[in-house]
Amino acid sequence: MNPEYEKQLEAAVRRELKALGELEAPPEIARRVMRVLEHRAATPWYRREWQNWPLALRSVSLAGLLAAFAFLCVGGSQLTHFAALTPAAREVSGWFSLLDSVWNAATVLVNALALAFRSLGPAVIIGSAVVLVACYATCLSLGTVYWRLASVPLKERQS
Amino acid sequence: MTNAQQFETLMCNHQNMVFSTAMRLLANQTDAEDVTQETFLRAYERFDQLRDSPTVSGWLKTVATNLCLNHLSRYRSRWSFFSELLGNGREENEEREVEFAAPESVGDALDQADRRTLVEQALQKLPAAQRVPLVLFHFEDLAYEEIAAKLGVSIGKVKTDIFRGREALRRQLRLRLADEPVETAAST
Repeated sequence: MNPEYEKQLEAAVRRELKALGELEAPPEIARRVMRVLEHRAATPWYRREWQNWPLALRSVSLAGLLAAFAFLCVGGSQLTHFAALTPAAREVSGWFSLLDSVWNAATVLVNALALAFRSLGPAVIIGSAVVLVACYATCLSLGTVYWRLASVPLKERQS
Repeated sequence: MTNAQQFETLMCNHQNMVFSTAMRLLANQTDAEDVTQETFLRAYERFDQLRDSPTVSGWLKTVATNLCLNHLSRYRSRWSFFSELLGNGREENEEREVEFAAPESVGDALDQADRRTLVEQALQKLPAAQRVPLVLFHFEDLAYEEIAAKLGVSIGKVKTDIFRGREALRRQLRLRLADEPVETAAST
């Protein structure tokens, strides 16, 4: 690119664009904005987005949510300690017994996988993983080719 | 004067500037109107600070520009996703020949208003990849580095796109450069 030519081109374009001035905005824009503002003002705070709540309410609600979260975390961990004390606590802890079973099953599965990894040796495991990834990539490529061929209209393909 | 009336006055004073910024960046009337509306809604949220601020104009312009760039990047990612999916994609950044309905003689015969309309049209018909950096450079007075940072591209690309945009405008508007003889300009 010739720097002198570029400079002249920039000056010529600048001259044209600077002479443009401002475009006239459609008059209904101001009316639209005022309508939206009136609508917002008429909406009660609890129906607005959280960001638009009054600052005091935002602070209180945030503190409340944090407190509730902390209570759930601490309460959940403490629940098991009280389970043996009262029948009600025992019943509540029973609700979580399913989660306990799931956790046990997951632990057994992970241990089994670790054992298999150790007995088969890393070469076999890595080889299997490579084969799996290659199969997945092949499926993905075939699917993509099929999708492209199927989605491009026949006329475009012929042209 | 009530708060609402003061805000309406502010809108009246600046709506053309905000709309022009949006229109030149987006080249779409509906989108430009939406961005203008959103800009003023954001201004209302900070009206207490903006009311007497001498930089209100700059603030509005910056917000409008950022909203436009956000809009364009959202649109571009959607567009490229679908064009990839349908396999008919040509990158928007790819250089393409722009066709204008320009009259044979664009020169001195046109009066100023017609000339402005023609330049606006030529600008709007540029591909976004050329129009946006060109507008940011000439209307927003941003440096190449700032444009590159805003658009998330290299400085080299910004310079190339701006050059191509200027070239397209020169061809379509038959601009005469300082060294160029009149005959040459007329024959191109």
